[in-house]
Amino acid sequence: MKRSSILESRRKSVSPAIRQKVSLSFQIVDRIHEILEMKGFQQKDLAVMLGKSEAEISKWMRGTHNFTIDTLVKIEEALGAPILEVYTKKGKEPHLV
Amino acid sequence: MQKYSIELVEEYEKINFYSIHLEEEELTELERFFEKFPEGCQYDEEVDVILSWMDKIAEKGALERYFRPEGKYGDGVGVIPIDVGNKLRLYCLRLSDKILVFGNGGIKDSKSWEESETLSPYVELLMDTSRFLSSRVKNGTVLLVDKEIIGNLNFTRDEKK
Repeated sequence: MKRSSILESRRKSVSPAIRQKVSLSFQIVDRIHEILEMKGFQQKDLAVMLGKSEAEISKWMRGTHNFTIDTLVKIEEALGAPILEVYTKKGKEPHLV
Repeated sequence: MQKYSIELVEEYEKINFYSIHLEEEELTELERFFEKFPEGCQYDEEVDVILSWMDKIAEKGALERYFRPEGKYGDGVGVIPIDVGNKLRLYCLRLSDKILVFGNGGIKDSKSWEESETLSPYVELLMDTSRFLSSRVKNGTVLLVDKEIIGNLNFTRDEKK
């Protein structure tokens, strides 16, 4: 499939850490979206639950936001569903959301 | 008068990336954007975020919730959302989950794009393109079929000073 040589060249030097951060942010927002859909909520409902503006929630949900643990815990509490799980030595597969 | 076309830049399974290609330029506007901020410049981190974001969109599709609207309400014009640095702006037109038309962008030098002499031409070009395409889809000279834009993709507009 067609690719731009200019973009491909620049892609080679993208920092793996940044790539991973964006990937994780996408996983998180997709999981939040999944929970919202499951419970029949919209982003604006989440905004009300968290005492935030719709604009701020919308900003979080675009795939580049750097979520803090504080924020993730508040979202989990508000929605009553897990978002992240930490990989342990017990052999559990990470809960990839 | 400004003449330009919409050209396919990259194709993926779920989505096509198109870009505006000005008649007088060798590269598309998307490629010109990356040429403006080459590796080693002070915006490396933001460019890395932009490309990583584009690659995720290529994988997942251009879902509306991933975009930050920037043009007029409902015209589909948006800016790539960057949460680090917050200095670079790359603009695009989201036609569907499967079709993106990228424009150009630059460094944020004012509170809003409307106030920026560097950024406003890029946004206005996409806004005009959105209007032209809507009109052509209505009259049947352009079709959006799956991830393809088919039909007359050559445009002429009055360049605003």
